[in-house]
Amino acid sequence: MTAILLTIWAIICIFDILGPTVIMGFRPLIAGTGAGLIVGDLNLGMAIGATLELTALGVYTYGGATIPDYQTGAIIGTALAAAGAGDFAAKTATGLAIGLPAAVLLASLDPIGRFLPTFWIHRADGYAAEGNSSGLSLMHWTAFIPWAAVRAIPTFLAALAGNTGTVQNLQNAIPKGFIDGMTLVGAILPAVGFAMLLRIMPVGRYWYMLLIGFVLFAYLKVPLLGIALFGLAIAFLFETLRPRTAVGAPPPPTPAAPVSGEAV
Amino acid sequence: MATTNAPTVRLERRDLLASFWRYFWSFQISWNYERMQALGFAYAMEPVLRKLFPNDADYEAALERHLVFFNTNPVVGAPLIIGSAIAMEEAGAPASAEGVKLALMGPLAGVGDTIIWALYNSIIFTIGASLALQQNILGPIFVIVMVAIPYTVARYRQFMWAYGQGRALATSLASGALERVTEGATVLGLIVIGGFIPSIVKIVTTWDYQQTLTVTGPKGAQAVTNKVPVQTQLDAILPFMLPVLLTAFVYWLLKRYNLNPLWAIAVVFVFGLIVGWLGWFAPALPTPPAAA
Repeated sequence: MTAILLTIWAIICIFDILGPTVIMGFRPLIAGTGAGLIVGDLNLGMAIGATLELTALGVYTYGGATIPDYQTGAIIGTALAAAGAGDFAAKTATGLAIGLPAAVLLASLDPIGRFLPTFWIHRADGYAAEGNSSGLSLMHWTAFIPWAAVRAIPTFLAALAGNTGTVQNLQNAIPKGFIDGMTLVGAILPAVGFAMLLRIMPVGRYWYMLLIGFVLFAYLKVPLLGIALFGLAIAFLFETLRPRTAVGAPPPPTPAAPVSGEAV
Repeated sequence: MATTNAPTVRLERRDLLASFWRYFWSFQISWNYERMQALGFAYAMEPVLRKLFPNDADYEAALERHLVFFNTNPVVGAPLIIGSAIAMEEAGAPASAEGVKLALMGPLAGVGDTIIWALYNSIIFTIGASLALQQNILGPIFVIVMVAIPYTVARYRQFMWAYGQGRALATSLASGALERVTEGATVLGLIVIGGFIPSIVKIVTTWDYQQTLTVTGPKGAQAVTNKVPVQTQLDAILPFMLPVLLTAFVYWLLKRYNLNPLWAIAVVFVFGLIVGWLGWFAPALPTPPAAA
């Protein structure tokens, strides 16, 4: 039963990001929390999801690129960790040790889910030529099947494996050093998330903004939300004070070429 | 050239809503490598096109016209472009609709991905995740609220605004406003990351070193050995020095060697596992026994 619920949750998570985007289910924080709720250990799901989340900051599918499947990794990691034995730290360590490699491995299935709907769109071409709107709708909605399947099937299999007790046997053999190590890994992996975020930002030009945030936290002990609000104020101030003539740096998006000359 | 008859039908609000909700619920579910969001775009346009083109031939041509390659940010960008494409189809200017799609999908993808994914989401999710790590359920709830409401409002307003702007859309967007928003968001993002790094990345060293001092007391010169935690010394120089150095190192690896993020994760993973296992470093110093 848990396995089925987890599978449905994995499908909801991918559906959300492709469609409504109201819960951001494809982020590990949300996916892991939901999985925690399903397996009856909310805190475990939150801890595993939050750690993976901070590793994956700024990691999104830009232009349709494949990225580690953190959402399914968080679900599988939570499911298997909850099935195991040990205290909270040991379970969290197990969840991370499973979830992170799972996210990377599952990334190899993602291209399959992105490739298969190509067949659907060719069918849709045919329906469009006939003006068959229900056929078009059918192709649109069923093209989601490959997307869901590449996540649902591994989740289901992993959740089933979690029920057989193999995880528990495995976990009894875990040395304490491993748990200490994995706890540290969880605490420092966010460095990768922040570094990836910084890589796509103009650090060279605005390095001093980083310094402002650092001083606010490290010396003035401002809480995170306070830093965000302060940053918002600075951003508005910065844009207000900036000379408007400087706007002409990179040319804004060029207007559509054929706006005036309609081809008839 | 096929002669396209300018539609004589006027769209009503419920036609626009029909299209919006189709976009809202399912825009990317048929995403594929070949044409990416094309089918989602055509699916969202379909009710409007049916209404505008009662003639089957025109309707079929319109569907095919919107089944071409399309890809942009689904939250900031796509609703704007669908809204303006509808306005142009209604105005009997299908070529303008195609032009706007081509001209805007790239730039809006860049702006949308930067503002929504990289900046806004990273801030919201870092706050949510740090609450969740303290086993506070408000973390995930905070994130969902901060996603569900602003996203939905922003998507709806973009869609309706772009429909209202119609042909003036490209000019409106070209006023430099987008660039200013991106710039401001970047400033905000960097300030926040500057504060997030020391608060989220947690590593301290558990090393001590022996300090031997020669103390001259009443009994003459005497060697006194005491243990000094290295971390205390580091904190005296710069608080949160290790988290900052570690992040800077990973950033340098990514930037200098254009390292695949997976390798960066692997490096940090192995490093953390080894030094944590050996007990050299830890997320936090063990709380000292209460001093008598």
